[in-house]
Parts: sequence; C-alpha cells; structure tokens
Amino acid sequence: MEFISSLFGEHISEERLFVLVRVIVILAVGLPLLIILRRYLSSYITRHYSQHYGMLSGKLFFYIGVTILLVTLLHEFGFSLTPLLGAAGILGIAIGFASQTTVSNVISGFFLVAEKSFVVGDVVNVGGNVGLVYSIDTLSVKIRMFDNRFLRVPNETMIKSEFINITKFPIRRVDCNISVAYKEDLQRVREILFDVAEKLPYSLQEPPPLLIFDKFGSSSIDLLFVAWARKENFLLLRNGLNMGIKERFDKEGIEIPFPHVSLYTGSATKPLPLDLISSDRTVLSTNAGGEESGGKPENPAN
Amino acid sequence: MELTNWPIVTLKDGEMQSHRVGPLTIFLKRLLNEVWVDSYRDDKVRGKPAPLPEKPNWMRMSLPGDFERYWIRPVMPDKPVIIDTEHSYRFVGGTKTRVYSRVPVWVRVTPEGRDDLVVADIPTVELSETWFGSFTEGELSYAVSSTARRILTEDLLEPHLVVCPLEIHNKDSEELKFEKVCLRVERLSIFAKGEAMWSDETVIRYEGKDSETDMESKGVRPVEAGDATLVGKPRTAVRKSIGLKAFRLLKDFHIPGF
Repeated sequence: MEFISSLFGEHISEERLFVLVRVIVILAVGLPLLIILRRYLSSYITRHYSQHYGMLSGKLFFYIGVTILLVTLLHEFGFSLTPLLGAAGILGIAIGFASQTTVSNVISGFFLVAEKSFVVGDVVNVGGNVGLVYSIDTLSVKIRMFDNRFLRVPNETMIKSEFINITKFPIRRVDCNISVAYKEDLQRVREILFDVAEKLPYSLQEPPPLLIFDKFGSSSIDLLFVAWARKENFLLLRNGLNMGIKERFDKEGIEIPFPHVSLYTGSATKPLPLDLISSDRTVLSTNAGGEESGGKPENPAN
Repeated sequence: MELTNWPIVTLKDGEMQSHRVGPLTIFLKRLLNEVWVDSYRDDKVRGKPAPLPEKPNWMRMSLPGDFERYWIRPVMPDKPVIIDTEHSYRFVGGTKTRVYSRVPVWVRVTPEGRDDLVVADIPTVELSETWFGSFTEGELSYAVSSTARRILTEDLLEPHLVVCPLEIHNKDSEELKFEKVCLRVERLSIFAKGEAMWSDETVIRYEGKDSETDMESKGVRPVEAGDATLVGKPRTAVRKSIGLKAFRLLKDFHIPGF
C-alpha cells in the first residue's frame, strides 16, 4: 500500500490521476454505449428499411463514434488537435503512397455503396463464384458461397471486374433446352409444355411462358422453353419444369432423342453378335451363329 | 337469411369438426388451448365436408387461452388480383360501364370476438401467381380469368366466389383496351346473403395512359346485394380513393425478356 502511494506520489501527480480516471470513465462508458447504440440503430434501420442500410448505418455510426472518442481522449491527455491534423496531412501523403491498394479499396467501397449495384443479401456471381453478399466492408465484399465457403473480394476488384447480380430484379426467367425427335408433332409438344408450366404453382402467368424453335439438330429438333418465376422460386420452377416435362413426355410417348453409338470391332468385321433372351432365359433370337434356338442356353453368362 | 357457410363452430376439448366452403373442407380440432387445423380440396362445390385425409397434415396453433367458439369467415385474397378478360374488351372514350368479376375467397378462422388471433387463413382455390408491372419492378398478384359479365344471373353465385362489381369510367378521349385490371382486393369488404357473397363496389377512373388510374372502394354494400350482412372486413385499412396503376401497361411484356 505504501509502495502504491509512493508510486503515485513520485510519478503520477494528483492532476494526472484525475485525467486517468476521466479517461477510464470515458472508455468504460463510451465504448459500451457506442456498441449498444450501434446495435440498436442497425437493427432499427434493418427493420424499417433493409439489412444493407442497417449494416452501413451501424458501421458509419461506430466509426464516427470511435473517432470522437479518440479525439476526446487525446484532448484529455493534453494533445492539441491542430498540429496533429497538420502532421496527419503529411503522414497521410506518406501512408497514401505506401498503401495505394488499401486506399483504392476504401474509395472503391464508397463507390460500390453509392452505385448500389448490389446490396447485402443479394446473390452475385463474381468470376464464376456464386454466393450471397454477406457484408460490404471498408476493404472488401464478403460473400457466403452456397457450399458454405467464404469468399472475400477486394472492393477494387468488384469495381474493376464484371459481376452478375442474380437477384437484383424481382422475377427471373427459367430456360429449358428441350430436344424432341423429328417424328413428333410440334403443336402437341407445345401444348404439353404450356400445360406443364400452367400447372406449376410458382410459374407466373405474366410474363407468359414462351416456346422458341432453336434449330434442326443432327438427331433432334432443339427447342427452348422459357417460363418466369419470382426470384425466390427460381430453383423450384427449374426443377418442377424439367421433371414435369420428362414425366409428361414419358406419359404422352414423346421421344427425347439421345445420341446412339454403333460399335464395330473393325472396318471389315461383321456386326457384333447379339442374342435376345427372355426373362426365363429362353433364347428368342440370335445372330451369333446364324441359328435360331428355342432352348435354354448352356451358359447364359456367355 | 341464415349464413350457413359462415357459422360459429363450437369445439369441445378433443373434438374435431369439419366445414365445407366450395371446394375447400377445413378440419378443426381443439386440444386444451391448442387448435389443430387441416384442409382438403376436391372437385365439389356444395355438399357434405370431405372426409379427413388418411394422413392429415395438421397445423397446430397454441392460443393464449381456452377458446371454445370459433368464427369461420370469408376474407379476400392476400395479394391483388389481376382480372384477365377472356375476350378483348374495348371502351371508347367517355364510356362508363359496370361489369362483374368473381374472385375465390379465403377462409379465416378466429376465436369468437378475437379478430387478432388468426388460427387459419386458407384459400378456397389455389390461384396461379402472376406479375403486375415491368421486368424491373412490380408486384406479385393472383391471376383470375373473368368473362367480365354485364348481367349477373343466379347460377353464377357460388359459395366460395365473391362477386366484385366494377364500375369503369374511361375519362380519356382515347380508347381503353381492357385486357387486364389489377383489383386491390385486400382493401375490399365482403357481404353475404344466403350463399351469395358480394364485395363493395370498386370504381375505376381511367384518365389516360400517362396518368395514374384512380381507384375508389365505396366501402358499402353494392345495390345488387340488397340487405346482405357484412361478414369479412378488408385485410388492410381502406383508403377512400387511391391513385394506382390499375391497368396493365401493355407495352411492358411485348418483348418477353430477350
């Protein structure tokens, strides 16, 4: 106890002790207050406006608050702000040269926020990586990819490169590439496709579905069928359409052609031998030895 | 006249009751302060309620008290309805016309006297969704195909369909092509008389494609409804008159998004 009082007596004057107490009080009250107010402001704006604005306003409030706290503390310690600001200007130039990338990211961040090409919660495709925008920070955009990996894209990269905002607009188009055999009646195919889309609850009536004749393919007629859904229902519609079309085509006997491959053992050989065997292993027909047989084969495995 | 379609149901503890409104049968079961709800749709419009499905998909709701009596009431769909006329319909400048469209109602179950405790809100018919607006902005709506009849006959009055009288004024000098109209049904009340249901009258004033269309919900039963009783309040508060984009801008979807 004597040691502490002697320490205070020798090194810390009463005035300095008072300053120290004030600083501790400012920090102890200021920081928690700042954090609580930031949370409140962020959640209030998220509730009334959007998650994007909530996050931005929270951060802005926090940074301004921290700056004010810092200035107050410096003032308490007796630093005058005028020479500090002058020094900061000179230091700023030096730091600016040394940290061009960082500064570029910070400035790009402002442009990203102002441009509003995407907001927190949007789904974006950046260089083939698709994910949900998790946060737009001072230096980078954080993205949660759908396989739950974390992607960090520097703000400068986002400004410089192309990206696709998948959920910018409220409705999305689902494209189904369909091939049907040449023998099929295209009018019937068209009726089936529109019927499948109409029966799906998440397929919007407006804008209406559309069938586009794509091309005469090498072994099929290629069509493009498009329908629209709310962006939230995009995957439901895509699955529903593709599965529904396959099911209806099977039911209605519409052939979906697929590539057929003929195998030869060589240019001069005969076709490969083929036996047709029924479920009770009776040989129905054969071209293996040229003879037909009604009996059971000795070794059906052959 | 008794409103048999919209009764007050008494549910004893552990007891199940069913009730049909058009193609929808609603099943209600009470267990202490919990209400269990399930529903089933079939092709019938009238008759006995459908039997409980073999594997019911109960939805349980816990209430802040033991309520024995429950209101079954009609309510308008929760989104605007786009009425699509089956045939092209044109109004020359200065025309005033009254047409009737029918919209399938939703069934709402609440404890008696507690409108704030919605136990169930189920559509009698599952309507297709549609988009009203442009590719970049608009609102999700339900699609209803209508013949936009000028004369209403008894056979059109069905237990699950509410008749919406629309009075359309084309105040513009140019022709109005009525293909689709967006009806803000969530602002309409429902009146019932016997099996028939009516919404309050909607007056739509079209003042040209560059002006917003003025849509007014009268908030009173239409003359055709006679002494019908108010059975369903609007989902959202009624504003006397609202300037809205009621007619679809035909140019919006001419190029289908390519």
